[in-house]
Parts: sequence; C-alpha cells; structure tokens
Amino acid sequence: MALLNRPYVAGTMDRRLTAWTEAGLIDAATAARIRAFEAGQARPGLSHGLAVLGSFAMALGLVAIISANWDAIPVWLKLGTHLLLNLGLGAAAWIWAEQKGSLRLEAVLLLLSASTLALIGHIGQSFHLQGGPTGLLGGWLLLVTPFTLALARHGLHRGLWTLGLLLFLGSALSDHADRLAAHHLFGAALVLPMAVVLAARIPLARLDHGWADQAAALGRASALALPSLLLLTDGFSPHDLPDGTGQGLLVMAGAGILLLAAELAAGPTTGSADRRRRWPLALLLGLCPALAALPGLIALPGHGLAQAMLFCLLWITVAALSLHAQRPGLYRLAVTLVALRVFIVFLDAAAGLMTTGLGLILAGAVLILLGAAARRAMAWGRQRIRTGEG
Amino acid sequence: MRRALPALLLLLPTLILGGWAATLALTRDSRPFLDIALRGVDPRDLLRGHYLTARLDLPEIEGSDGGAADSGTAGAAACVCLDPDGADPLRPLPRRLPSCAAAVLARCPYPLRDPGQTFRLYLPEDKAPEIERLLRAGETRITTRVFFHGDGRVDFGPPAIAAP
Repeated sequence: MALLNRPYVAGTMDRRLTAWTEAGLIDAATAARIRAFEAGQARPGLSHGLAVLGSFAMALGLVAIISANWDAIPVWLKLGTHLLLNLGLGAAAWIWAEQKGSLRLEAVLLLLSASTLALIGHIGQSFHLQGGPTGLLGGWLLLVTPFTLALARHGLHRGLWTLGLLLFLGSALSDHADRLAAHHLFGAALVLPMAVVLAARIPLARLDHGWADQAAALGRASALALPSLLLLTDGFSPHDLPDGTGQGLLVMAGAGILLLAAELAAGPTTGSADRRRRWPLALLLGLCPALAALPGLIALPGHGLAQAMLFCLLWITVAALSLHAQRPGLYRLAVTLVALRVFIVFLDAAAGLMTTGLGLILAGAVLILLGAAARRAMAWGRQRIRTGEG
Repeated sequence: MRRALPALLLLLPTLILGGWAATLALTRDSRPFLDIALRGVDPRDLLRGHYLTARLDLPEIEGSDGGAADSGTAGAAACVCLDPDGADPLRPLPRRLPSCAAAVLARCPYPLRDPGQTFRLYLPEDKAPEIERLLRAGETRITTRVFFHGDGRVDFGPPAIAAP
C-alpha cells in the first residue's frame, strides 16, 4: 500500500528539499536526513482514504438494497439477515478494536454505523412505523455514538457522524419550532447545542484530539457563521422579525459570539502576557452582539450601514484572532469577507449610478482599490504570522 | 474488562434493535385488529419515495364538519371508538368518545385517537403503478390491517388490494 505513495516522496518532497537546499535554508546533510526519514515512513493516506471511501460506497449500497423491493422475501428473514450482518460487523470490529486508527477497524466501524442506520429504517419499513427523520437519526445517534467516539479515529467517520448530528438537530428544531417559539425558547434551543459542542471538546480531549478539535471547530464555526448570515440579511432588526423565532435567532447569534469571547478570555494561554493580549479582543468580540442589536432596537437611521459596519467589526476581530492563533487561512477568509462586504455597501449606495458608465467606472475603481487593500492586508498578516507577532 | 467494554459498545446496539423488532412483531400479533379501507391515497408521493400516504376511509361522524377526517377541536385530537359495520366491513362506524381519558378508551375494543391523521405505508416499487391504475379506474380499494393498542394509538399492516 505504501508503494502507492512512493512517488510523492520521490517527487514533490524531493523537489522541495532541492529548492530549500539551493535557497540556503537547509544544508545538504539535513536534506539527506529528511529524505531518509521520509522514505522510511509508511504513508497510508491515499490507500486509507480510498479504502474508507470504498467502505462508505458499500454501506450506501447496503442501504439501497435494503430499501429496495424485497417484498418477495418474508419480513423475519430480511430482518434476521440484517441483524446477523450487523452482529458480524460488530464482532469484526471487536476483534480489531485494539488496532485504533487501523484501516480495517475504521472501515468496519463505518459499515456498522451505516448498517445500523439502515436497520432502524428497515424495522420502521417492515412494521409501517410512522416516525420521521428526527426519530430515525436520534435513535441512530443514541446507538452508534458510544462506539464511534470510543473507537473511530478517521476524519471521514467523524465528519459523517457530525453530519448526522447536525441533521438530527435541524430536524428536531424544525419539528418543535412553533412550540419553542411560543415559549420564547427557540434561541435557547439553538444556543444550547452550540455551547454543548464547544464545551464537549474538554472531555473529548482526554479521549482523542481529533474529536476534540472537531468539536471546537464545529462550535466556533457555527458561533461565527450564524451571526454573520444574520448580519448579511436583516436578521438583527427585531422589528422585522416574526414573533419568537426571530428573537430566538437574535439570542442565538448574540450568545454564539459571547461564547467565543468567553472561550477566548478563559481558554488556555501560554502565559500572563498572552492573557493580557487576549482581553481587548475578547471584549471587542463580546460587545458585538450588543452593538449589533442597537440599530434594530432604537431604530437608528442608516440601519443597513450599521449592519455592514458590525459585520466588518465582527470579521476584523476574527482576523485579529486568527493572527493571534497563527491561522493564515482564517485570516485570509476574514479579510476577503470584509472586502466583499465593503463592496456590497458601495453597490447599495450607488445602485442608481450602476446603470451609467460613470457608475461602472466607479465600481471598477472601488473593486481594484479593495483588491489592493485586501492584498496588502493579507501580506501584512502573513508577515506577522511568519514572525510570530500575532 | 478492557475487552468487555468494546464488545458491549459494538454488539449492544444490534441486540437492542433485534429486541425492538421482536417486541413489535410479538405485541402486534396479540392486539385486536380491523381491516379498514384507505382513502385520500396518493400511490406515488414522490417526495416520500415508495411510501403511500393515506387516511382511513371512515364514514362521517355525526355532528362533525369533515367526516371522520375531522380531527376534532383545534389543539386537541379527537378520540373515536370504531364499531364494525356488517354492511361494509371495511368501513367501521366511528363513534365520538367524550374524551381521550384512559378509562373512556378502555371501554372501547377499537379506540382510535385522531381519526383524520395522515399516515404512510411502505409500498413495493413494482406494485405502485398497478395500484395507481386500479385506483384511478375505480376498480379496487386499498385496505390495511389496523392493530389497536387500546390507548388510542394504532399500528398498521402492509397495504392490500381488496375487491371493490
């Protein structure tokens, strides 16, 4: 299997090492040691990925077969066969359970997980049960989460489980949206899973760092993405929002950002200087929800412009945080989003001009200026990340 | 002990599902049942794949606006008692019950909560077009076996084709 990856070592890695040697970054002896080290490393990446994808395709095929027309076969035989298949997969996973991260264990766990989902659907179909996707996904999560958390280590498996969790949460919220909104609990119902996912990374870190990192990334991404979407639309204007649901979204967006601010202020640090540097950023982030709600609450003129400024403020803070965390990708995303939002403001303001030649020239000029400014900001950020001054 | 925990985590889900399926099969067969005709049938609801969406074809309840499909007053599902009708065995007569209290439902052999509810029945793919054709031509009726829990809830058997 490792042979599949030899060309990578001999090709890309070799060219990079030659370039670094020629640039004087490393000496020839170091390059030789790196080559020897890399040649001795088994790289299961590609084969691992292909096998997991193959298993996933097999699992999907299994779901398709069970869902298809089997009416000629008695129900007990279909269900019995499916149960035996599941038990066989469980037994195989148990035999290989000590080999965490191994290809065969990951593949068989993925098959067991998919087959368990199909078995719940199969039972529902056989007995004409009237449950919906919430029950199906909730039951599946209840049954597979213990062994998935304890034994699965591959990113694809984590991703699929997370997708199931998100679909379950979305479906449950959709089922109960009216009742939650009537009791002013819609926002709490949105924030609670976000907070639980963010907090879960602490116990998960003791189990596996991959799961902990995924929980942290998911919690932060939802805490950032949802308020951003609301700020891009008219979500932060409570007057325009329909009853409890709109207020719930407002609560969720504000609480999401506050969660990030709290995490930043109270999270692990590298020392007291690091802690002191974080506080202004945490404060700025923490103020965003209150600032964002202001235009809607007191009906300020220029509400759209205030929203745009708050969107920019939020993402400028994220840019600063990403510099601090040495995350160039996130920094570039933040700069790009700010530039795009500024351009949208210009388009809104100059809507009448856009049908004229002058308007188009102006738009082009603004776009070029924004592009240049974004490029400079990115170069500045790259430099700071490189020198560790984030 | 270190080997026992993974075994538990990996095998228990399937055993639970097996137990669930066995319980469903055993309890359903011991419940009272009626074969009831279906109406409002959409043989190929594309959004739901091979599921047939239907309501029970019950005669109108006296004093209601929408027949048995009337689910009662807003916010509270009505409960009815189904009495087998010798004239049309596939359309039992619904009798409105004063409430859905357990004591009231216990006095009825076939109690049904929310008689107007829409439900789904799995339909084998190869049978769907033929059933659709027969229904449109008025040449047949679709029935299902309804198993009564006794507390107003019901389970359903597979859809079947009955002579008109």
